[in-house]
Order: sequence, then C-alpha cells, then structure tokens
Amino acid sequence: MRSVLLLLCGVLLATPARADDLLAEAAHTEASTEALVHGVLAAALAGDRGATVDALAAVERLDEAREDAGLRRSGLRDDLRCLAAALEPSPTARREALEAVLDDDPDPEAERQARHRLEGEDGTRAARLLADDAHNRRANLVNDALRPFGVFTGAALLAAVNPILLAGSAVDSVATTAANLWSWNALSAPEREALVRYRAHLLREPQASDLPAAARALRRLGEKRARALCKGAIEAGDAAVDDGDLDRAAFWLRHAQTLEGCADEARKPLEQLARATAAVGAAEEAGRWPVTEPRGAADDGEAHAHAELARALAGGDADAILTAAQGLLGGHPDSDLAPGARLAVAVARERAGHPEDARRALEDAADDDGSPGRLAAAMLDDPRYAPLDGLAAAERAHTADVVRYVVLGGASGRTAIYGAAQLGAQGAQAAQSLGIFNVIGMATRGWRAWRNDPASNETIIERGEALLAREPDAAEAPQVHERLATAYARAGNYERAIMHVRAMPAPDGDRLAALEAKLAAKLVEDVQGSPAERLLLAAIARHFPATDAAGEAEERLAALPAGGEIRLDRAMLAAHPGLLGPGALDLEPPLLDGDRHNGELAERGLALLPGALRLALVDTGESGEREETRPLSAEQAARALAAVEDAFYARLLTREDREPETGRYERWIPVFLSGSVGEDGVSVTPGIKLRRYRSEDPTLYR
Amino acid sequence: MLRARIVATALALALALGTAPARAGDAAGAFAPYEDLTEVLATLAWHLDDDVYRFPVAKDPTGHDVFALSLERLERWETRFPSRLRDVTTYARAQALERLGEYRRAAQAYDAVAAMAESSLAPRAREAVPRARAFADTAALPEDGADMGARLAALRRKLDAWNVLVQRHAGTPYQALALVEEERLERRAAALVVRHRHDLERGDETAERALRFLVEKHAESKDLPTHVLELGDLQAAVARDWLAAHDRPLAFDEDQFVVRADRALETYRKVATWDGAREKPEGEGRFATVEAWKSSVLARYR
Repeated sequence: MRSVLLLLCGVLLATPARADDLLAEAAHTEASTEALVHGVLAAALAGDRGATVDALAAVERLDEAREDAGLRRSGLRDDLRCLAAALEPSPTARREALEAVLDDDPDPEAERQARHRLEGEDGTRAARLLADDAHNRRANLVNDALRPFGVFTGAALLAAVNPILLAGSAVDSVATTAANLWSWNALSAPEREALVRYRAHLLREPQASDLPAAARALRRLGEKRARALCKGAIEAGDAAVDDGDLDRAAFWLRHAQTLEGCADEARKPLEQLARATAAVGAAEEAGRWPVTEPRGAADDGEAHAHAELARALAGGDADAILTAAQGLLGGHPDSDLAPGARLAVAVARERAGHPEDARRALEDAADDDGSPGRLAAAMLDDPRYAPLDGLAAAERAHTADVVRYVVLGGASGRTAIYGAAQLGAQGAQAAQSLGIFNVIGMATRGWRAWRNDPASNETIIERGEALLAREPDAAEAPQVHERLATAYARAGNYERAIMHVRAMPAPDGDRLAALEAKLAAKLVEDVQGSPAERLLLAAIARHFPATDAAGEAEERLAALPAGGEIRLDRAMLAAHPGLLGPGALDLEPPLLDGDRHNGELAERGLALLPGALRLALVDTGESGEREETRPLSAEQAARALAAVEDAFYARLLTREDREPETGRYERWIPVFLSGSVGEDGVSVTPGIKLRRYRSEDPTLYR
Repeated sequence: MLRARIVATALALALALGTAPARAGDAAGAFAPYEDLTEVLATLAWHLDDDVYRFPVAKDPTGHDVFALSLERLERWETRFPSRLRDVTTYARAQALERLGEYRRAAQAYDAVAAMAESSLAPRAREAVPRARAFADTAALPEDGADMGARLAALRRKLDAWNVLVQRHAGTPYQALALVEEERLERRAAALVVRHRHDLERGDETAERALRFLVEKHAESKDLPTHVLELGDLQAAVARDWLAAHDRPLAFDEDQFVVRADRALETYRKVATWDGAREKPEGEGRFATVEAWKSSVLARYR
C-alpha cells in the first residue's frame, strides 16, 4: 500500500513513474486501511489537499490505535506526508512541507524521495552550489598553500629542518597562493549551473521568499559570465593571431566585439588584427609580382638562351628543358640567370623520372642568395627528399617530451610566475639534497611513462602515415611500418600497431602475440556495460584464445545473467524477507534458516527466469552446490517479478548516498591527511576537505 | 614517360601532404617578389603531369595552390612587361587555366600562341587547341532544367560527354581533369537526389544508393572522405526526419532511433579516424555533434 502512496507522491512531484502491484498489496491490507488509502488516492488525484490532510490525521489516529493494540504502525504516515507536500499550492510551501518531512526522521524510502525533490529544487540547489563553490575556493587556497610543506623525499627528509629547504617550500607556497588568487574569480562550473538554476527558480517562483537574494546572485553571476565569455573570445583571438591564423582570429575578435561590455577590450586586438591582415595582404600581393628589375641577360646570346629555356619550360618536355638549361649554363656560367637555369635542370630531372638527380640539382640551385635559390631550398624541405628525417624528428621530440615529464613532471604551471617559482623551489631542494632531487617522484613518473605514454605520438603517426600514403612500396616502408607500430602501441592503438607489424616483411610473432594480448585486454575493459557485452565477450574469447583476456572474458561471460534472467543472491533475499512470502517468490523459510540438512540456499541465491525459478542450493555431497529449477505459472511469475522489482527499487532508493571510497563517518570530519607516493615524491599533507561538485549533467555547465 | 608521370604525381602528393595548410601568417614570411620568370615556369612545369583527380592540388612552398599562383604571377608579369616573352607567358597561362578548369580561356590562350608563327611554341599550341576546345564545349553544356527530371537528364548528357573525354585522354594528364569534372557532376546529381528525396518514392533509399555509388565509383578520388561525410550527413538527416515523425513520447522507439543514429555515427567515424585525410577534423566534429544529439534525445525520452 505504501508503494502506491509513494508512487502517487512521486507522480505528483513529477518524479519518474513506475508500476506496482496494487492488487497484491491491497489483498493483504486490512479493509479499513484500504478504504482509507483509497479515499486519499482519490482525493489526491482530484487535487483535494484538505481531504489528504484529514486522511493524514486519520492515519496518525490509526497508528496510535495499532500501537495501543500492540501492533506495528501502518507505515503510511511518511508517504502520506510526502503526498500532502505534493499538493501544497506553491513551490515554497511544497519545499517547506518536504523539509518538515525530513526533519521528522521519515522511513528511508520516503526520506530519499523527499530529499531528491528538495535537491532538484532550483533555488535550494543554486544556493548550495554557490556555498560549496565558495568553500572549495577557500579550501583549495589553504590546501595548496600547505601542500609544499608536506612534500618530502628520503633525501629531503634529512634536511627537513634546513632553512633553505623550508625557504624553497615557502616560495612554492607563496607562488601557488598567488596563482590561486589570480584565478580566484574565474567562473566555475558550479557557478554556471547556479546561474541557470536561479533563472529557472525566478521563472517558476516569482513570489519566492528568497527572491532578492536570488536576483542579486543572478546579476552577479550574469556579469561574471559575460566577463568570462569576453575573456575567452579575446584569448582565442589572440591565440589564433599567435598561430598566424588570421581568419580564425577575425572570427573570435569580431565575436568578442558583439558581446555585452566587451567592445572596449576587443578594440585593441582588433586593431592589431587589422594591421596584421593588411601586412599579410600587402606581402601576398607583392609576392605575385616580379621585382621591378628582373634578372637580365648581359648580351643577346644570353637573352636568346634564356628565352629558349623559358619556352622549353612552358612546353614541359624534359629533354628540351635540360638541353636549354645546359646551353645557358654552358655558354654563360656566370650569368645572373644561371640559378634559374639550375632550377630548370632540377625540373627536367624530375620530369624525366630521376628524383635523386633532381634533388642534387635542387641542392645546386639552392646555393644562391636570390629568389631562385630560396625556392630551390624550400622545395628541398619536402619530405620526399628525406623520407625518414621528418619521422625521426617527430620521434626525437616525443622522446624529449617523455624525458621532460619524467624529470620535471607534468606541465602544470598556471602562470609564468608560478612555473618559475616552482622551478626555484625545486632547485633549492635539489641543491640541498646533493642533486638527488625527488628520486621517488622520478621513479614513479618513469614507471607511469613506461605503463602509459605521457607524450603525444600524433606527429610521428601523421608523418609515417603520410609517407606510406605517398609511397607504400618505398625502400623505407618496412622501417616506417616498424616505427609506426611502435608509436601506435605506445598510444594504445593496438589495432593499428598490429596492422603495421603484419605489413612488415618478416612480422615478429612474439610482438604480434604481445600486441594481441594488449588489444584483447583493452577490448575486455571497453565492453564493460555495453548493451552487447555478452556478444562482445564471446567474440573476444573466440578471437584471442591464447590471451589472459580471453580467460577473463569467459569468466565474465559466466557471471553475466542470460537475457531475461534476474539474479538475487542470498544476501539480497536475507535483506528482503518479504520476497520469500507467498505474494512473492513463495519459498520455504528453511531455505534461509542456516541448517544445511533441511535444504539451504547457496550464496549465489536464485535466478528468476521466464516461467521458472532456478535455485542454487547447498549440497552436502562432494559437489558443494546443486541447482533446482521450479516452474512458475504465469500468475506466479508475474507476482514474483513485481515483488523482485519492488525490492530492487527499494534497495536503489535506500542505498547509502555517499562515495564508495569514503568512510561512514567521514562527513563529520572537515579535514583530511593524505599520504601518497606520487609524481612529487612521498607526500604527507593535511588539508580541508572539498565538497564534490555533482550535477545531473556536468557537460552542460563546462 | 610513364615513370616521369608517376614521379610527378608522387611529388604532387608529397608537396600537398608535406606542406602545412596555407595560413596567412606563414605566407607573409615566405612570399616575395620573384626575380626571374624561370621560377614561375619551373614551378608550373614541375606539376604539369599531376594527377589532380587522385591527389590534392599541389601547393607551392608558401602554401598556395601552384596553378592559381602561377596564373596570377604570369598575369602580373604580362602587366608589367607586356612585350617580354609573351608567347611563353600566354602558353603557360593556358596550361594553368586548363588545370584550374577554365577551359574556354585556356583555348583562347592556346589560340593566341598558335597565331604567333615565329614562336617555337606555336605548333604545340595548335595541337592543344582542339583538346582545350573540346573540354570547353563540354564544360559549357547545361546542367540545369525546369524540374528534377530535366536536371538529371541534363546532367546525364553532360556526364556522357565528359566520359567520352575520359576515354579519349586515357593515360594522359588530361584524363584526370575529365575525371574531376565527371566526379563533380555525379556529386551534383547525388546532391539533387538527396535534396528531393522527400518527393521520391523510397527517397531515402534512393538517395543513399546515389551517395554509395559515388563512394564506390570514386574510391580513388582525393574527395572520397568528402563523399563519405555526405553519406553520413544523409544518414543523420534520415535519423532526424524519423525523430520528427515520432517525437511524441509513446511514438518514440529507442531501438529504431538508435539504429538510425548509429548508422550516421558509423559513417562519420570512418572519416574521424582517417589518418592523413584533410576532412578528418570535420569527421570528428560531425561525429561529436551527432553523438551529443543522440545522447540528448535518449535522455529526453528516458
């Protein structure tokens, strides 16, 4: 019966609706209670709040009478109060009624429903978001200021009382605090959400008691958001100018100009952009013209040779070009036109299909200070003439990134001042520990770098793939495949790594097996929670039979319920004894009485199948466990399913609402002490606990 | 000759892939007036045999389309020095114009050189004139019509004409030019079917077939990723149409919606993971867009 009330309460409070077995519940309720509840439901559906309040009083009288008679209370009171709250005329009154329900120690299900509604109430939620955000900003400031004093390594421990070492920590602390203060007023995700919720709150409740405070907060957050939008647009424009992408810069800066209160800030960058655009336009236009006095011939013979070369180039015939160019170079080796003739030789070689000769000719032509030489030099930069150089450069850059990460840690400097101060502080510590700075931190980062590549392999992959796209059968192709396989494996893209290993002339079987094992492990991890998990796990087990992942996939397959199967373990049944009754699964009580000799349910419990119940029973014989399947009629199956769904729903509603990793009493302790071995070495640091930001959809407020 | 063509083609791709996209800031540093006409002619000659159908148009070291830049530089040379090497600049202009799809102007330029009897380029120009005129005449055929049927018929006639040129110039650099035109028209025809799919019986399927035909026929084209993206666009539009027709809560069937949205996602995913394709960022963006839309729709109906 209380399920019905909860349901109606939920519907009226606009929570998701769910079905319940009304008849089964009603059949086991006293007639008078049933009549009472029926009246309440009818009144509630008709929106008759007075009748609901009267019914609530009647339930309280009924409970008192039951208590006097030595019976349990009906359990309807909290649900009826929720229902009455739903019928309050205004959101404010509804909120106050729900708060009153919570203040009165309601049963867990009613409590969860009431709390959920209150948490979803926009004004309350916004106020809490802002309070938590302010707390977190202050806590971060304090924690970051304290943290440098808590970090020590084995070597630094010996110098813990050393004033220079402490000075390093102090510098770090001050710099961190300065950086935090610098970004103190930045718009946060909770503030974005609060802004949205306050807007909705004012729309829903224009007469709310907290209207002035909400309006003030709304105005303050609106201004802050406008500033953040302006700053973001101008920063994007500036970054585009720095990248030389003037088109992108123009969009961002013009957009900034249209933002409220941003026109002044956008004016100067827009002027800079206009100057840069004009300069580029002028340079481009100039580049389309010949110089005022092009290189000329010293005499008619040279002029004739030059004209012949020009005609040969226009015609495009390799032999003719070569003949004309060699004619000019042979007859007039010191001519100003010779660099152009050398460039023409390179063209002839290229068109004749001799790229190596063309490269040498370009090198020859590049030995000129004028524009023909610059053009030849630019053409020589093409990856075609040094296919593996670009790849090697990308690999070197990657190695440098990894070394930088291992030695110095991840790039975290929020400002230049902060970064410099960090370096100074670490330098002081390093000097004090005779150069053995943060060995544990380095070892940790080294280990992490070995496990997961901290640097991007994108450039190596791009260059390697481009090389193979151009010349898949080039002499260097096996080397490129090998290096791409390594890069893809480091990046965790095992499919592509396997493809490149297979493309090598003699694929290494061990390497392939190792990559396949990694791929299988990744797939097993990825398929978790997928709607096609069974199918995918079976495929992994079939395609990668020799890997550990195949074993894991088979184990998970065995543990997964089949389609249409609902499993209930023994603990679940013990926690919901009502499930055993005739209105539910209709099981004999001895199955859970602990006596193995009269039949006992195993820890695995039972599975509700379509039309049957499969029990896992303790077997006193050698096997230890046996299964027993009992057929269920359609009516029994429907009743069992309704009861099981109800139990699962109740469990979901009443589960403890805290992070799984936090302790039961942690919320009463406002500070924490963390000790860890991380990138900064061994760290023992006290701090103020942060309030975690939880949103129904955090992506909407980034 | 064949080897030279292959090498030139490879070089075109090398230049196209190996050079960063043109950006005004970069160009400002590298651009400079040229000192010798040979530079312009050498750059153009280097790319004369490029396969512009299979590979992106080559860029010069400053990131500019070599044919467009060469044409501009030749025109400026003629402006500044109208009487110097006019036969050379006119002939080179004709070659650049052909590769830019301006066949009528190219034919006129070849005509002009053919009339310069004293030039050693005149015989070559006379040979080029019929080809350039054939391309120009074909390009001038109409593509439009009063209704969809008439438009498709016009496109069909024009496609047939281009196909004749594809066959006639097989094995030469001019075949690639004809293939580019053929692909452009087939893309236009497919777009027409997609646009009018609501007027056709089983229009969605017909439109998808048209796009799949494009993808399969032009599997070697440089624009293949674009065709795949267009197929994804159609599939996304079909999913949106389905949602619009089933937007009431009890009319919405999650499985049916997911099947349609996932088809678009699968197609976009191909381009989003297409290493080296210029369209890769577009594929990533469209994938993210449809994925976000799908999540939002599913959340709305749950």
